Amino acid sequence: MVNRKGRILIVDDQEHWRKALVEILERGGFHTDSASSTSEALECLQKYLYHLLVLDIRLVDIAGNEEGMGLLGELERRGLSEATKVIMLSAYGTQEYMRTSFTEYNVVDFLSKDDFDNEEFLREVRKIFSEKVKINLALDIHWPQTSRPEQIVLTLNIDGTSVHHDSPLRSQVVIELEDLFCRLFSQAKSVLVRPSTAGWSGTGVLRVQPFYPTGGGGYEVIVKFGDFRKIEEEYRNFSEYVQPFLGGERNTTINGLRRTPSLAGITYSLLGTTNDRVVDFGEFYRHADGSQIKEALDRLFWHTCKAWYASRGQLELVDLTAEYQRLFSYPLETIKHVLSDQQNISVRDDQKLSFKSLPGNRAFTNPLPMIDGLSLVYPTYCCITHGDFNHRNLLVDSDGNMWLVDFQGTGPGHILRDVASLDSAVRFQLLTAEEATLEERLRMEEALLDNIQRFSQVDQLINKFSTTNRALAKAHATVIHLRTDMARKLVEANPVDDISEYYIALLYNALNTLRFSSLSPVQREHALLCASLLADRLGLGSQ
Amino acid sequence: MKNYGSKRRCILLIDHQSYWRDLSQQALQSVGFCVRTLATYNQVPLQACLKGENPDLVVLGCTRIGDEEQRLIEQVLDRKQHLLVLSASLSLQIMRSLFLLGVDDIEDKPYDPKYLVKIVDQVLASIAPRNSYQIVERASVW
Repeated sequence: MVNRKGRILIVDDQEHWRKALVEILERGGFHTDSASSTSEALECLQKYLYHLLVLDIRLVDIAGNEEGMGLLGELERRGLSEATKVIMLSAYGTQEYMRTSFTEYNVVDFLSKDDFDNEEFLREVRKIFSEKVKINLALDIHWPQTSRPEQIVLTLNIDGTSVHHDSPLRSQVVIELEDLFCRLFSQAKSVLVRPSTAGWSGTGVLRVQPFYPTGGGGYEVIVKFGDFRKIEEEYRNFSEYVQPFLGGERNTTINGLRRTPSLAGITYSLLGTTNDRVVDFGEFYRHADGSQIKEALDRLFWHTCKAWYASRGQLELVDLTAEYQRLFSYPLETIKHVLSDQQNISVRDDQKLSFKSLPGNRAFTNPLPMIDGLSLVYPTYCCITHGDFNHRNLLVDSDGNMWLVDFQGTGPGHILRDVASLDSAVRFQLLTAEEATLEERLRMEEALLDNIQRFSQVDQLINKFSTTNRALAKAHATVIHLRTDMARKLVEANPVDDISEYYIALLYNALNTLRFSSLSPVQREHALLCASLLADRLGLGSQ
Repeated sequence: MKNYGSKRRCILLIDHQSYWRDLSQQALQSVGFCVRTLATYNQVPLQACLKGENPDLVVLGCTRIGDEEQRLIEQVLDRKQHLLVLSASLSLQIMRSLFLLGVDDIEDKPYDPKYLVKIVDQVLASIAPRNSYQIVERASVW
């Protein structure tokens, strides 16, 4: 039996009112705290979650004092007014206070102390919980056995702070996560939560199937949750860049957005899935054969994202270095620091690299000094892109249809941004540490770059590499498909026919991969090797 | 009047009192609003106006909030219209009940016509959802 309670904070300077309100509300089954001043109230709001605030206008008994109204403004400034509803309660109510409270601060009620009625107050509070807070505190949440909320929140980063095992933030966020589910699924009786892979951006993704009191289970939805700023940004990007392009067929749509003090959550519906079995692209890739992967990629680029890529603008000069540096938003020093921590890599005179796991003592160009202060401007196209095409943000059903989630990076950008991002994810992430040695990876990278300077030459890549390593062959075939059938076709109208713009996108994706601490050393060394070869291919050392 | 887009904003003004109806109409028209007036609470013309013209805002001017006014307010709000109430007699209790019903704003009558224009501007500006949560909520309700 679920035993959650509605949480209410009473803010009143008069002790007898605080005591009376606490008594009424606790008798009504609510958890109630009280504060006698603005500072006490803000301290409580900082530490604990409240669904409702009962707030007196005059917190100091001096004529003209309106500290309560000031606290309303502070709640608005802190962005708490969506998570915590407010009832104003006053012995000094005026028409103007009432108008301001309702029209400017969106309070849910304004009550007078003069004709206060205990039972009516309790009825009003219950009504507010059902109609305004819209929360089902009795929601039965079935978390996955292998992944309880205490584990799930460890992927989160709230306001720049990662949630750790021992941090006090962890227990607060666990409470908020349950509360968020009670808000997102306020009409459900119970929900079955299934794990999904976490994104890179300090947010979490879960698959959730709701069950309703009227009987029956609803369709599984994807719940994206995390720091409310990131989730709100994702919602804005979805509204601006995804919604206008939705057609009548298979779509990702948002059907819920709710907030707690620190977290926000979006529920995505995947309209048109043939069944409930939707997996991320990483899992699909592991089990699918080459033709299934190609077919899914064709659907992703030429069906799911067709409207974006078809709406490209005119050929224009684009500063690609600025574009990708802005996208990944990391200082070069961060990458240098990561490089200095790699024990299997030696750096000579800041210019050359060597890898202990490669035979011989071959020296490679260190790409980091090459990109410092670089400005590479190319004629190309821009359009709306997803912005973070990694295997975790792409979902596939059993028919190979694909859906997108995570729109935090969505917006206008280089037309090859998504394909380069997926190309990199296949080589550096989906090819696991155990599946190929660094030497094998180097051979593949050299074959992929061999004498290819124009998009019109990419067909030559097909026969340039052979291997008995099946995982490597699969990665290679997938990348060839991305370069020949996606990248080339996206820019085929460009008369310049220079593949450098794609290499620049790959270079920055490779460097960005170095920051992924969850990857194995060989995967990160692979990314660095690739960046080195690309720097040579682009002739950066001679610029 | 602020520019809320290329469409001319349409106001449905309901008031039994011809003096206030004419004064308000002139004030609102003088700043560019399209104003349709009704002198009656009769349902037939009211529903025809709400349905046919789909006003951006309904302004109800009255001397008090009696049963008839209450019924009209509920009918306007049932059609998901935005409503400004101007009443010559307002108690805190009545104001509270109107705000809880969903009225967008309430003002005293009599009023200065210039002030009416200002209030109408404010209400129209506040009609837009304030944040993403309200957009999603309205989309799911409407």
